[in-house]
Amino acid sequence: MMFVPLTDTESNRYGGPPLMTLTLILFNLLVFVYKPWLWVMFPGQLYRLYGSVPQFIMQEQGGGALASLTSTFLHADIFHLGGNMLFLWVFGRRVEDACGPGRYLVFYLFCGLCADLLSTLMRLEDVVPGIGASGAIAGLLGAYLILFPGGRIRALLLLGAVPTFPRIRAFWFLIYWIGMQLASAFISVYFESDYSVNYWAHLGGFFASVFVVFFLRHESFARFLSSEPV
Amino acid sequence: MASDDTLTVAIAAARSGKLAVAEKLLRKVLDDDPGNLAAWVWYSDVTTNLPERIRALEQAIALRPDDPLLQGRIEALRREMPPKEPQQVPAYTERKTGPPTESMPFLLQQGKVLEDRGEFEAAVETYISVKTHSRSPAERVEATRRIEDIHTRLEADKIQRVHPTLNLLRLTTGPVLLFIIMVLMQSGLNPLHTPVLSMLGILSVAAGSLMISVTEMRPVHPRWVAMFGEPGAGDEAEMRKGVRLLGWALLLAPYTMFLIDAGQRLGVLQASVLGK
Repeated sequence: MMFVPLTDTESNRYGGPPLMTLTLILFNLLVFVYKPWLWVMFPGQLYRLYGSVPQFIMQEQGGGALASLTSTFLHADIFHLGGNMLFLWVFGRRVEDACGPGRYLVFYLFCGLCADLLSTLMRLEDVVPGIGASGAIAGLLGAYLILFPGGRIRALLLLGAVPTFPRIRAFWFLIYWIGMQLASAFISVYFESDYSVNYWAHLGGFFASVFVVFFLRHESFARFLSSEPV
Repeated sequence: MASDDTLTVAIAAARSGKLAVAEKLLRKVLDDDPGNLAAWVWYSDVTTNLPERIRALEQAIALRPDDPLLQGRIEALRREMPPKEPQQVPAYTERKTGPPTESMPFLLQQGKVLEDRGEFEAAVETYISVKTHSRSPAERVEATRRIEDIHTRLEADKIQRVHPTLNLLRLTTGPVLLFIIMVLMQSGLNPLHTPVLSMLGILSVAAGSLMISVTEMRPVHPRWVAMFGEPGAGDEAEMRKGVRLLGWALLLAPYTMFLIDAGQRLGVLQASVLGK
């Protein structure tokens, strides 16, 4: 059985098209397309320089916060990129609507940095670079859960070889997702396993989403305080 | 169709601007049930003939003599009535054409401005005034629709009013949080390693963010009004532009300096790992 979220079925309340979400997706795609050229510029060192290396951050070497930001736009392969951009589209659109494009961008970068902060704290001496937008996007998932607990998403559910497209509550999917991240993160620590997915970054971004109230529009904040649908 | 159903359809027609249809249906309701208060009140709203509006309200008042709203409306209409008109009131079945209409679009616009500023009570007062005084049925129906919209928004949504200062502080905080975490990452997660310049940068970002937020507040923050006047009055617009520009400068300067510093550090690492 395979489960993939495809789109948010609810419409925007405040703004028009999600320009900032689309811009972020486009920028990530462009960086990915130009990555071979970047590899030539920085032979074998692209991820060490522009990814987030905990040891460099702790020793105050390299770009520090700048490298943390650039790392959110680097992806290892097309599946890494595709998965992240799909989640960005599904869960980012209405969060952007609730925040407005400018504040949404600041919130996205803030979640990316918080993700990197927790990831760094959990592997202080690690020299393996962390890359990918998943930490920042995990922040959007958390914000979605906070702002739209009743939201529904259209998903692809493969039952064997049969594709179905159910409309489900995002709440259940997100609870399942965060549960998996927590379990995987603790398993990776307990068994000291060498993992390729940075679960701690996901958790850092997800928990940073509680700060989303500082980035909401006036109207959406008032609705949020009044326990009305944002 | 039962009388109640006909009334419902008539009200829907009036709200959607189909006044002739609404009037015809209301006449049918009143023929069947002359004691229908709501039908008389709606009839007074949709008909274009001033004497007939008064007559409809008189019928409504006869059914509910103590209603101050109905009394106020009929008094207002009577003040607009030429002295001889009452003797010439035709029955609605004999009515030909209505009197010339007096349009009040400025009051509707004023109501919309008040709505945009969040002054809903004042907006409702303005729309009631349009409902009472305008001779244009379309305007009366529009005013009724807007009053209902406001009630729907305030009552059905139950949206709390957020104190402007809370909103201001909330919106100021976002860019500051981002800058603080950047500074923390840059100083090896050790706050004691934070350079003084970065500390000053936090203050600058906070000041800039506050200035930008206060100029973007809708409705305008009361403190701003106290200092610079109502929006659009005097030099308020110029002041707003100036404060916003200064805010952006204070906000962006620390970020720019920070990125230059990070870029230099990255250059040093790049030179060492690439052997350049």
